[in-house]
Formats: sequence, C-alpha cells, structure tokens
Amino acid sequence: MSGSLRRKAAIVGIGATEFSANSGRSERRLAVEAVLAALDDAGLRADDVNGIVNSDYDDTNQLDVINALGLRNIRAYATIPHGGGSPCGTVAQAAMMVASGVCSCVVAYRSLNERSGHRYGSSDAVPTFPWVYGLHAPYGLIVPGEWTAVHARRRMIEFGETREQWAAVPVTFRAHANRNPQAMQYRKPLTREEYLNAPMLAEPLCRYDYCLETDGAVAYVVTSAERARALKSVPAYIHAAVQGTAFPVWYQTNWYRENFTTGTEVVATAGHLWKESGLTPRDIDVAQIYDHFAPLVLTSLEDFGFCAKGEAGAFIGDGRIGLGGELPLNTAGGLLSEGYIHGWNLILEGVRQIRGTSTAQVEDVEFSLVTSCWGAPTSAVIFSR
Amino acid sequence: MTQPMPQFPRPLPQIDRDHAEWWAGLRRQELLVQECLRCRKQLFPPEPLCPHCHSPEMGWRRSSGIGKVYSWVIVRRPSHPWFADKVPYAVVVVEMQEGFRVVGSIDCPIEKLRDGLPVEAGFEDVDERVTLLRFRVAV
Repeated sequence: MSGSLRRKAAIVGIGATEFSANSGRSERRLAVEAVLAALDDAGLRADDVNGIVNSDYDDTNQLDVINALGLRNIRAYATIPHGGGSPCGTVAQAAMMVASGVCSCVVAYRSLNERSGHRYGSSDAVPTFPWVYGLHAPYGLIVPGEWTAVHARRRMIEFGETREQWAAVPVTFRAHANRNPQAMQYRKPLTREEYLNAPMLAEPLCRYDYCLETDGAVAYVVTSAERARALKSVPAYIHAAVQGTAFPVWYQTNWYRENFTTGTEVVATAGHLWKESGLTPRDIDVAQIYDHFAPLVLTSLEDFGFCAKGEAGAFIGDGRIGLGGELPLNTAGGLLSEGYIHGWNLILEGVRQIRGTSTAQVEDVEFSLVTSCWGAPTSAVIFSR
Repeated sequence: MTQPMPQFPRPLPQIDRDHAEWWAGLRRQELLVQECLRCRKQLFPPEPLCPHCHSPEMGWRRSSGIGKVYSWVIVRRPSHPWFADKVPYAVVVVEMQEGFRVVGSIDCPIEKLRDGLPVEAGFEDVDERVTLLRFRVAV
C-alpha cells in the first residue's frame, strides 16, 4: 500500500518521571529525565537522536532539551498542535520522519507541572477572553469541565443515559490504577457508591468524572522497524498512526455544530485509522481511550465504532472494559486515575501492552489502540507486536 | 468584622474584527446571525468569509430572539474568582428558532431547567462596551 506507514517504524523506548502533585523541579528538568529514561530503555544514546517532536501545549522548548542533553545531531523537529488532540499525532509525525528516511531515531516528550504550576481546570482572573471563548466565558462557561458538562447533559437527554452507567468508567479505571504503583491513585480504591454520592462540580459531572492534575513527564523513542529488531527492547510496531479533523471544530466547545453527541473529528480520525490499519474494532485487544472526562469515553467508543451511537452506556456494563473483559480499557488507570500527562501516558501503556509489561496485562495482545482527545482535531495509533 | 472582598473583574470578550458586528447588535438589543449574501447559508460563530461558497460578502440577519434550551450546566464550584459568590449558577445553550445556537445566562430557577424549555433573548449591559445575552422563560 503506497504511502502507508504500516509497520515501518516502532516505539523502542519509553520513559517517565514519577507522577505527583508537586514534582519539586522544573518542567524542563522533568522533560530531560523522561527523555533520558526512554533512551536508556531503548539502549540508545543522545548522539543517536536526530529528530525531536513535542506538543504545542508543552512549555519546555525543544531548544532546552537539545541544550540539556547536548543533542548535536538533530536534523528534523516538529511540534504538533491541538493540545489533547496531539499525542498520537506525535507518533504519526515521528513515524513519518523515520519512514521518509530523514531521521533514524526520533524522541518525543511531554512535560508539565499541571498541579503545582498552571492548572488547566482553573482560570486566572484574566480580564478578557479572545476568539470564540469570548462568546461563552462571560457567562461562566470557562474551563473544560464546565464545557464538557454541556455535552454530557445531551447524552442524558438523547439516550436516557444515567450516572449509574457512567460509573463503570471511573470505577474500572481506578481498579486498574490500584494495580499500578506508578499511578497517582494506586492506593485509593473507588466504589460505585462513592462515585454516585460525590458532590457535583459542574453538574452533571463530579470530581471522579474529571481527569487528574499531575506533575510529571513522559517520553518515547521511535526508530525504523529494521533497526528496532536489533535493539534490546520488544518493539511496539506502529501499525497505523493517523490524525483527523472535521469542520466545524473548536476546542471542546463544540456546541455550534449539528449535534453534541457525535465528534465528527473523531469519526473522521477513526475512518482514517481503520482504513490505514486494515483492521476493524473487533481486532483490537486492548485500548487506551483518551479520558479527560468520563462521559466522553462513551462518546469516543461510539465514534471509533466499538458500538452504535447511543449504546455505549450499555456497552461498558457487565465488566466488558475491565481486565478479563472483552475490551479492557485504560489499563494503567488512564488520565482519570494514573495521571494526566495530557494523554501521553496512554501511549506508554499502549506500548507496555504490546511488550507484555503492563501491571494490568491483557493476554496475548496483538493490536493495542491508543486515542487522543474527543472534541478537537485529534489522532490515534494502533501498535502491533 | 468583614474583610473587604478582593475585586476581580467579570470575564469579558476581546471583541475582534470578525465578531464586532455581532457584539454591536447585542448593544442595540438585537441578536444577529451572520448570513452569506451569495449562498444564503447562516453562520454562527461569525467567520471572515463563507466556508460553504467562499464569498467574502457576508451580511447579518436579525433573529426572532425565540428559542429553546438545548443543554445546560449548573456550575457548583466556581473556576473563576468573579463567579465565587454566584454559585450555583446555570449557563444554557439555546437553539434559536432560526436553527443556530448561542450560549447565555438565564433567569430561571435551576431545578426548572429542562430540554426544550421555551425561552426568549434578553440583553444585559455589563459595561460601556459589552452587552450579554440573558434569556428569560417564554410565557
């Protein structure tokens, strides 16, 4: 298939700092720690790196990583836009840089002190809001939880969905985090009753519907499939990595388009993904679905074609998304319970499922899916063993 | 003894050139929707040209101001200091009779909010520059 990236590149190294509420060090420092850990995991050195990729929301300039690590061989660099929509897009970018022959070894990183530093869930007392934000911020619709509540309410209206159904997402992901010593919520179980009795923040959402706020960094290393076979780690081949969008689309504030309960940008991305991979949802053994907010996991499952529109509430019941279920999701705990590295930690868990090293390992994984956020120009990747 | 409350200004829009006429309409107590003068498609939020036929000739049509609640949030924990003493408050997305949707506040007890609640646009001047939408329940 001409132009396809299928299995031309692989993730051969993954690295992360601890995930905490207060890292005590700079985002720059966290970024380089994660990059070094990923290189070490791959058995590669700083001099091997000749490409670098990050996300537009990252405050650590690539130049700082180059200077801190003494990267002297960089010949291609890219920054992928759209925040939570970008993570799997960085994998697509790195794979293209390698498949084109321009680079032989690309590192990608995401670093943030999102709890001790700038918190995405609170607003500074900025006097004015630009662009479409000016059309809703003055009314008190300011942060992602408030925006998402408006979308989640429509799921209740259109599908008769209930918080009892949504509970499966945070409770299952928490159970997965309880097996993962790296997870922020490792020692904190969550019951359905706690979820259902939690006070509303932006009704109909409670705190357990929200992703965590985390200080930490992750990084990964991509090289060619051929070179990957000579390295010490088990390669996670990039079977398909795609970006996609639709029109019109805004950042999580998509209330001006046809409806609230379909992400046309996600449907488009899913179309590219299934076509590029030659697979269908039934081929996926384990998935990390971007979980900035629990109800959006349901919408994403529908938009990626795992079930019909409006049926995710029933689909996620009966243990289907837990370990041992038909489609285990977010096996490290996800953004809801492992940590919020803006979706990038999902990529690492997708790789671990191929390697067989997850703390909630699914048996005999052939295809491992990772998605980026619903509600913005987005991306997705399927790893194969 | 009461401490003086810190003063935080209300969040307000930065009115850019593509949105200026819409905000000018609210100031005149008119809810406007952008309309392409060539293909007659209506647009909200405003765009610099028509995304359907790429005509730069864009005009404005006045909405009836009548609509129905399409969705809403009840904010119970404020995210911005100006709203700290306003919680709980509702923000509604209203689908106007003409088919476009806008965000606004609403004069309605939060427990009475429901899908399809008929509303009409009201206008609230907040400073010498900005007028905001404040819906009321239609009778």
